Amino acid sequence: MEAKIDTMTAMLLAIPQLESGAWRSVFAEKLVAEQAEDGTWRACGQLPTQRRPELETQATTTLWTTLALLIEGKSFNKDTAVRFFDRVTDAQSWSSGNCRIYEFTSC
Amino acid sequence: MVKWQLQDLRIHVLLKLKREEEAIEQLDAIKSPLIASRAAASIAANQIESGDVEAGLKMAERIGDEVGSGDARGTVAIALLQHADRSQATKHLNQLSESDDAMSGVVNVARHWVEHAEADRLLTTFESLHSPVARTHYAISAAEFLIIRERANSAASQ
Repeated sequence: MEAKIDTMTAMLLAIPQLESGAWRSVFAEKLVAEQAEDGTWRACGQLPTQRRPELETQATTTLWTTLALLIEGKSFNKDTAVRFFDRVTDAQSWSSGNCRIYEFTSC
Repeated sequence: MVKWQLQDLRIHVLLKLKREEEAIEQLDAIKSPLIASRAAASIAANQIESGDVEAGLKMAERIGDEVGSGDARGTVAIALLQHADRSQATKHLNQLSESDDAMSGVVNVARHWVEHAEADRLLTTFESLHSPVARTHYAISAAEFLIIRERANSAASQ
């Protein structure tokens, strides 16, 4: 499942907690286990092949996963994650693409 | 755009980590009006949820009127409806313009109540809207979301 980090994170963020089953906890625990020693989560699937700096891609995956686990209320190494994404303060990529952040924290 | 979206995402995480001051600093750095509006709405909603409604409403003043800003206004409206005095939430909703963008904020409120199965709040929010345009957008979107939810529930039970 280590190749599915971004998918698991997206599902946790996109699907309201009200309508979720046991998979939610399984995914969250798996994500906690996948955190690297430097605090990051590795971008998976097609993400690393994008034309954007590797550090920025890694920061994006780490930020999304951190957000998902914070919403899920899971215990993980926040300090190392924060230390990592605090380093990435000047993203380089530009795109006309768009994305939205949906949260279902009060479900 | 990605550059500022990453800032927006960072702000969401900082708010969850209760690092609001840093989140506001990050907001100041965003040069995209649309993403700045979204980020301002996230910070405002966080302040309202924390009980500082006045600060939240002041932060909400930083939301612009560019295309897509209605979603940001919807975020603030939902926070007010959930965590503030109902009259404040009603006042905020009724101050929205009747532009398509502002109406997307009203649509987001309707979706929120449907997704959270809050039938009473869905109805009372409708009753608090003054603008016929807003009432129409709200009613139609609520009906659509209820139909979608009903179909999803029906499919899940089969």
